[in-house]
Amino acid sequence: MEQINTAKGKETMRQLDKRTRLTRRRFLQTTGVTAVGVGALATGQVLIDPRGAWAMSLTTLSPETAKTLVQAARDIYPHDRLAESFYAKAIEPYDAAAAKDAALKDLLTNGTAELDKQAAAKGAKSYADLPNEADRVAILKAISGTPFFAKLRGDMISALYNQPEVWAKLGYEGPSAQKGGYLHRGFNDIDWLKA
Amino acid sequence: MAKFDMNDDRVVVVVGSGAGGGTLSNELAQKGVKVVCLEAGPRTEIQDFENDEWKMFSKISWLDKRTTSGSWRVAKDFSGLPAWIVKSVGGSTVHWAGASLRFQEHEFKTRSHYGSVAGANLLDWPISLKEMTPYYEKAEDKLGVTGTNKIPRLPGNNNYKVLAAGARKLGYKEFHTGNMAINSQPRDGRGSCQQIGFCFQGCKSAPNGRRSTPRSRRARRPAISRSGQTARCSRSSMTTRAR
Repeated sequence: MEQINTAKGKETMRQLDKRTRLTRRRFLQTTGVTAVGVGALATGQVLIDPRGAWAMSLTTLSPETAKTLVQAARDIYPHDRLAESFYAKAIEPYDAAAAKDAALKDLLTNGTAELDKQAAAKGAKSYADLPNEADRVAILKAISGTPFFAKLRGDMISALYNQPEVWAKLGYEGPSAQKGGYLHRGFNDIDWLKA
Repeated sequence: MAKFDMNDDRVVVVVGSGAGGGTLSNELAQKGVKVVCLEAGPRTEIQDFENDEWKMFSKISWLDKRTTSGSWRVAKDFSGLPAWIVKSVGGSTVHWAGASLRFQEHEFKTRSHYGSVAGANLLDWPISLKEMTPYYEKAEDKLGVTGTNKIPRLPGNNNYKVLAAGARKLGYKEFHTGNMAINSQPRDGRGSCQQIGFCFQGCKSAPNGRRSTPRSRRARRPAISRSGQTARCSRSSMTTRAR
């Protein structure tokens, strides 16, 4: 995790990402115009983010399946400040897992195919290409009782939120024992409460 | 490890080294009684503790295959998830945060106080607060519970400050950081809490896993430090013999 040093040589408490964050409105405006690319590798296929921010190599799942999974993961756990790469990282282990588990491969392939099919009924090329978030959420709600949805929702809790880089984005400062705990690093440092 | 004759009837066998078994083993050992404490889980020490919720969940929860049935939410959403109790030397005291509250008088009289609940077997406790008080006092002293035995309470963290401000605004007169079996100051050879923030993952109150500072919580594995060695053992049934 990123560590910031002060003049005193002690780490400061806050480790929040200082980069400009997209607002939700801005995010929704921009995501609809991009298209995730697909390329071929000797060992399989690769799913490429149009902005070049991330790529996912695939041996078992199809790029279409992975693309839909990434979008569904974001729609289930929406955080505008999280880049697509974090959702992709959360989804990526499914490829290796599906290589060893035919039932999982079927579950994910058929589940995403159903999402894509319902998106097609609303006139989109695929689930991820459906530009309106509310439309995508309506599709997710319609399949929320399925084992596919339960699997994705359950797995994403740890796959997404247990990424240390995500902790920093969400303002969670993480492990502290090696730094002597939070006792002298701001466990009681809020300054916006009137005494 | 000490060995005892299978026919030695002075030996007390305690099953489980958690809050009940561990404490019992420790107290008996201090009185000079020979104790064999059986524990199914491994020994997890300060160097095994990580400030990572998911890693520790995979390390110290009840990882044996589990089934869940019925209509409750966990059966639906997480039917195969390990139970968040601890299978380790120390049992669930390993992830116990130390909240040490006494029952209040009326809580011993649940049935009388709240009335019966249809379809439930709600009962009063057969003991009273008065009977329990000497034991509460003893336990609070041994555990070093804040707010008792002139032990200062822990400092309030950010969450506490917000809650306290709300309580004050609502007109509450009494609020504090609770009665906790966590050292707010060094006591009984153990250091004070460093606000690490991972009570549930095993208190790692020594830098880099070195035990240079004794852990701040007494409750963890009370039996082990004084009762000696342990060995792992797990049985689903046990044959007992009438005497």
